Amino acid sequence: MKKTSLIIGGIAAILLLLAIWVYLLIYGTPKPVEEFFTDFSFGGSSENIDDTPFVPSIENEQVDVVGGVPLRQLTTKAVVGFGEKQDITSNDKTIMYVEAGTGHVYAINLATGAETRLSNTTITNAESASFSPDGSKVVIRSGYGTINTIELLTLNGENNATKETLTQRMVDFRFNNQNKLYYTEYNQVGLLARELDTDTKTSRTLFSVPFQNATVFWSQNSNIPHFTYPKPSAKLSGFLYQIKDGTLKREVASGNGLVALANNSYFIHTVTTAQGPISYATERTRGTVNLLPIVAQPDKCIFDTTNDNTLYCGFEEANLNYEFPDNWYKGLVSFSDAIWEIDLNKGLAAKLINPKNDTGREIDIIDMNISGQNRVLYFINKNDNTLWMYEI
Amino acid sequence: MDYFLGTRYDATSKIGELRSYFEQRLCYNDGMRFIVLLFLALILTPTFYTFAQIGGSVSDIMGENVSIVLDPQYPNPGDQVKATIDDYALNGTGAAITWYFDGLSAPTVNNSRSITFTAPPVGTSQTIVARLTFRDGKKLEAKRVLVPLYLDLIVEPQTYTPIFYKGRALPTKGSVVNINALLQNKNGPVNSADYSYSWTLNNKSVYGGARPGGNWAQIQIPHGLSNTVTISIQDKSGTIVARKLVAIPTVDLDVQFYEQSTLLGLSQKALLNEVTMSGNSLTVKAVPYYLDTRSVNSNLFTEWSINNLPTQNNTNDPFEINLERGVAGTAKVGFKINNLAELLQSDEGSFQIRL
Repeated sequence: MKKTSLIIGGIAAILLLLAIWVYLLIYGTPKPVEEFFTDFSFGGSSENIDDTPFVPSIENEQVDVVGGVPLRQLTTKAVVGFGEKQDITSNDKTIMYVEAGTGHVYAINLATGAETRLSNTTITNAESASFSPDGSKVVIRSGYGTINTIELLTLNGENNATKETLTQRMVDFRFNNQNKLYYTEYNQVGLLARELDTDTKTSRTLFSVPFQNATVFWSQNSNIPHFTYPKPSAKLSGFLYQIKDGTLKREVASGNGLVALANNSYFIHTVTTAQGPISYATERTRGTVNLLPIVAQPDKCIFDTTNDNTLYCGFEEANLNYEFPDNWYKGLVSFSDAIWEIDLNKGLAAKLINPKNDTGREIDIIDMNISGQNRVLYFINKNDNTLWMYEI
Repeated sequence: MDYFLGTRYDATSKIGELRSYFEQRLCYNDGMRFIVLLFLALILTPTFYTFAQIGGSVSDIMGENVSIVLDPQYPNPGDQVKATIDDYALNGTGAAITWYFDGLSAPTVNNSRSITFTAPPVGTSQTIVARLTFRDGKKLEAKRVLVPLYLDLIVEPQTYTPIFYKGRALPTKGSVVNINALLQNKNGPVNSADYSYSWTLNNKSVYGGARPGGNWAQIQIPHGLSNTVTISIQDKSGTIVARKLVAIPTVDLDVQFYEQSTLLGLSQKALLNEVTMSGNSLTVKAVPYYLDTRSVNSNLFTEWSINNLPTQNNTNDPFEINLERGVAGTAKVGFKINNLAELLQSDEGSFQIRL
């Protein structure tokens, strides 16, 4: 055998061994499929799931709320509802929130950053929550299915809360600025909108909607009427109705995927077209309609409380296809929103901040809310349900 | 001729009388017989008849040979409406056209046979007049009075969506859809008992005819990509006050997966392609969007699988699976659902899980 053949054969053998070593390094030892399945065990019934909530060993944490950076993440926990209250004596502002899953209630002092737990009462499968403006009560839905319960917690200070189950079968609920609870419930043909006094447990009917698949935009003061519209879908028509004297009054706004929000001077509605969603601002007195420069999704927007002409929205400059908002509601698409300020009078939008540029985080804004005086926006990041704030 | 020009509604009978007169006077004169026959032929032609009518007063002849056609025929308030002159029975070519809205002329659309305008607010009457002025100075008018009402067809598919889903359910083949016809005048929704409602599905009557107070219909979606429902509403005098058509789309059942955690709750983001198990276990919910609600508690076949091999699911909830950490690697977790009562309502989905 020639010397060169021996060298070539040796190099080939070395390369082959090297290749096998690299393969095993990356993919590991092959296993029979059956063995793999056997190891991949599946827990039994849902009763086997450990529902015992995790109780952190350190009760009170410190949240970085000190100024300097306008955009801050307030929680690492997932949140299903939040509310702000102001202490009458110290004037300190507190943001309260309900932890997803456990239903535990926490409060963050926005002046000191101290976090305290207000309720250690576990409400399993906490799905959504609403705080009364005075911070004394919170209503939490427990359960993700059609069979769920509505729990009322009365907050009496640190780790001190009393729980009672409300008997009403609520479809939707939200506290108003009078610390009473707006809610809807099904009747035979549609939806009843009612108001519950959580102290006396008395309730009254506000209006009825002649269809069940309704979204109610609850007014927070007497100058703004309630609005309602059929739940949105890009494939089905929606129509906007103002509630006037307890009955529906049609607004000149309709279209597929219709969603809306309103203040004293404007109502904003967004419809899905073949080119994607488009938003309009209608001046309520004159009825003049202007095209908005961004897409205003009610979950992502809030009106300024002191200036009717200003709207704040989360919005990503992306191609929103004709499936919007259905695919967003399903969680099939998500956004990396910037925060925008829209001047409705001039029809101009200014980008205030792009969180991805500042924090590296993609924030898909939902539950946008605004502080009355401190000019702070609060919102949840739909991507991980954490709570954030932005100082305007 | 003057005798004919003065004729209007009873022109045919007058022609008959005249024919008798000529026949009595001239029936024995062969030379005149030809003239009479020629004359009769002329007066029986449509052209002659038309010009005979033009000689009448404008208000008297309105609407017989010229009219205004609206598209949509029964617009909602604020809708863009196309109005077209329909004068097929006369030769209006070359006539000057002037449009009037509530008595005011609209010079910008003069001489247009079709114009587009915005329907007035709800319950507000608007009179649209098109005046045709012919070269010989004769005039003809068509008038249409529009009182738009809102007629909203609210489609409510009776299919499943989870509680966190803020959108509306969509109809699948064979599922049931409720449709509410909400007719509103300027005071709000009308009393439906004062009106009769005729529903059709794909041009077939749903209830066999008009039903007083029947503003609500329930239909089963036939197989097909889209179905058309029409509603026609009459008041007590039998006048149609509103009519509308809606295309109802049909979608397929859509299974999506969501992670459920004791501490984090139910994720609002669907598990799309691959998920990494960070803890020792992972609970996943399969959500069958648009499943017929009649089948939710019965007539369902569900099956979970791992790498395409069916696996037993011992949980009480057939839509939930609890995965516990085993060896490292990846696996494909699948879920299949069939509505045994409607075989076209089925779907399967899967995702990769990395341990």
